[in-house]
Amino acid sequence: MRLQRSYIGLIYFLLLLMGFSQETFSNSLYSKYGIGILRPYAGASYFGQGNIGIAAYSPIALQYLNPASLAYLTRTRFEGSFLFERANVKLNNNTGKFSDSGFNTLHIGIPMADGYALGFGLMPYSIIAHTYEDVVDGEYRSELEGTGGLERAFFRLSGMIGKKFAYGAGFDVYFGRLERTWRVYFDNATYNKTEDVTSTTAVGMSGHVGFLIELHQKLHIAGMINAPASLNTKTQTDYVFRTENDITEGEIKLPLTQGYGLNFKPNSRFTLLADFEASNWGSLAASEILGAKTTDTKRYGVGIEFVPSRKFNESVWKKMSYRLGFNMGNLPYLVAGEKVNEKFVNAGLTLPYNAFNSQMEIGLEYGKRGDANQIGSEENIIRFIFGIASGEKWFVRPERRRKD
Amino acid sequence: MIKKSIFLFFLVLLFSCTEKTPLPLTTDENVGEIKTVSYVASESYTGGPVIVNTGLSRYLYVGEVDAKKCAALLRFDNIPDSSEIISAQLELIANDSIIVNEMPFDVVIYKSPQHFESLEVTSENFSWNSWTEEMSRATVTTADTDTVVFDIDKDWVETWKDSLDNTGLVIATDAIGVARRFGSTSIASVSPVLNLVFRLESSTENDTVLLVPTADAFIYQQGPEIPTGPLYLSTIDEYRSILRFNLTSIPDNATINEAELFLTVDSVNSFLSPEGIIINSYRLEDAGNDPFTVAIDSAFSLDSDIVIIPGNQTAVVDLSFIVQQWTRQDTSSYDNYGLILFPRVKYNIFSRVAFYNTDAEIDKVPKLTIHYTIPPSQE
Repeated sequence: MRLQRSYIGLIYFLLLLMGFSQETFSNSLYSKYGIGILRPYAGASYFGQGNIGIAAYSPIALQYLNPASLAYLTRTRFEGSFLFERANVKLNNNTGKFSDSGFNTLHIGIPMADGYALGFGLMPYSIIAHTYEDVVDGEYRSELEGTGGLERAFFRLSGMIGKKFAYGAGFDVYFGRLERTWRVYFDNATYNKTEDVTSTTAVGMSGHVGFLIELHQKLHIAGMINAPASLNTKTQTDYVFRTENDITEGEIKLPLTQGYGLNFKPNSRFTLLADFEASNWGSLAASEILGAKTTDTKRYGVGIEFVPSRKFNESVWKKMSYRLGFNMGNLPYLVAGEKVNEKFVNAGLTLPYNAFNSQMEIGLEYGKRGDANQIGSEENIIRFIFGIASGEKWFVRPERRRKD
Repeated sequence: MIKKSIFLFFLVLLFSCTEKTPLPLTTDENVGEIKTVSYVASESYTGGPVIVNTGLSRYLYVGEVDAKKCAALLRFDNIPDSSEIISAQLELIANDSIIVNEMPFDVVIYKSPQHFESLEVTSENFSWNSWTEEMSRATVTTADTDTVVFDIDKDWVETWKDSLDNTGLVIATDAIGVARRFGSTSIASVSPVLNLVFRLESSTENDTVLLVPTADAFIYQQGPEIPTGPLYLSTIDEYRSILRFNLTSIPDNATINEAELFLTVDSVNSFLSPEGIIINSYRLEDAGNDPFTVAIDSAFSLDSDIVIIPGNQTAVVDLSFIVQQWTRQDTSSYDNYGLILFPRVKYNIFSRVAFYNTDAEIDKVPKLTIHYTIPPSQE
């Protein structure tokens, strides 16, 4: 049975790797700016709790924001998630719809002896996904499509000093391809089509640190810093008649991000989280962020979790976790000289199984980005996250049997 | 539970769905430009007339065609040796009404005054009207299809056995304003035929054989000059034309969606048989102005055959490929020296097309209309 579970765990891992090869689209008209829409992600468990959780920790749930949280893991955890997203877009007097789905993230956390742990994974950092179209009847259809984005691969280590101070550090590799394709199809079949693809590949490294401090049995505070990053870029435009073209080298910069969180557990059933995060995107020149005009970002969030019971023999409804949350912030880009604000409400469920060793996460987020009256555009967005986390006792030495 | 989870993952993978309703492109979006521009030729040249050999012609013309007097040349080198010629008749087949003669006219066979090679003979090396010795005469009727039969002197045919003495024959007419074309050896079904009755020395009975000429061609006398000005393409005499277009205003990263050269037919100065004229176009490799000496890249034709028949008002040549090569500028072997228009001379069907040149009215000048796109800026 133990061996069977190991095989099943391996199958999960392979499925997640395979699924991660598919892209996940955000489909936002604002993704045409800079490096696209940023994708803050706290983890499948915390998505429904406001998509926050710098100060969150769990022995069985992986958290993406703060490396220090790994120190609380008690067994190896695999987590992957799937994302469905739909946006109803309004641009001046025009409307559009986008929806897409696919695999989202992959995270593995491995506890070592004596409170140390390591984790690694892959998650989207930004996503570009938009399509514009112009049709002139009898003549042509012109299409402008943005695809790609940046991925963030991370590797992190965590440890404890005493029982109340957890710390973590890690390094990140940012990589990706940002592509803009302009196509023109002509109604006259004898015309050659146009397809101009401007591709920017980017790669760079950075690091992050975090801490998690127990001030009180019921109260934890935490902080994290993502260091600035400088990504080397190579940009090339390919045409339908010519694909070997000059490559222009450049740079994309990612700013410093700092965040702080609060975790309050008044009792064993409730957990309250609050986060604040800030990045100085406004310090970047347009040439450092693919021509976009930027502004500093701030993000706030609060969330609550309710777990009726953690007893194995309770009913499913009592063992489930229920979550609600809210977050708000702004995009790093200026549109028509104005900030683009976004607000979301979140809800989620956790279904534990296998004696709380594994769990399925369901999260929902609904919100609005932009303001049609102020900047001429806005989006109503709904997101659905489905995640699975499971664990195995890998890399933990079993106790030796006594010799009788 | 775990197995169900795996199954759920597969379902999710299978049913990943995509839906999109694109937003309309607005003017402030960073898109490229879609342009259509017509370019008038910056240079144009016509070269000719060049007298051509007609040894591969499908037809043998006799009479006055396009103000040019024509005469056919035939030779039979295949008379049976060791034989006595009993009788000989030459049959010429006119199987169409391409050149209509409204009245019958006489066609005369002369002894050819000089030897000729069918792939070399022209009126430059075979003097017009140098034939004087009439050997036979027949009448060409006004019927659409006609077989003209000449009785040939058997003694003369006997002399054809000696190749040194066999100069062949000339078929010509003194009639003015009439003409007929007869089939040549290029088309077996309408080839001239010598109906020869002979008896071998070793035989007591006559044999009959139908011989086709071993050499046939036609020559023509140069007619009056055609008006200068239009761009000419002609098979007899040969005319070729060069056109050049300045395309420096098109950026090298533009995609050429379509490039068409529009040529307007000047029907007044054209002479088109019902089969019309076939035109090919080729890329030029230097800046020369003489269509007969300029360097030509004949490896590939810029477009498929362009056929112009009577009644056509416009010829359109698709130059999309070569215009893309000229404008992209990264392919050094495709410098823009323009193009040359070639008539298909090989089978020498009498045709001439005239196109309006750059000094014509604006709607008739040679125009290269290019549909192209310029990519968005990278800002």
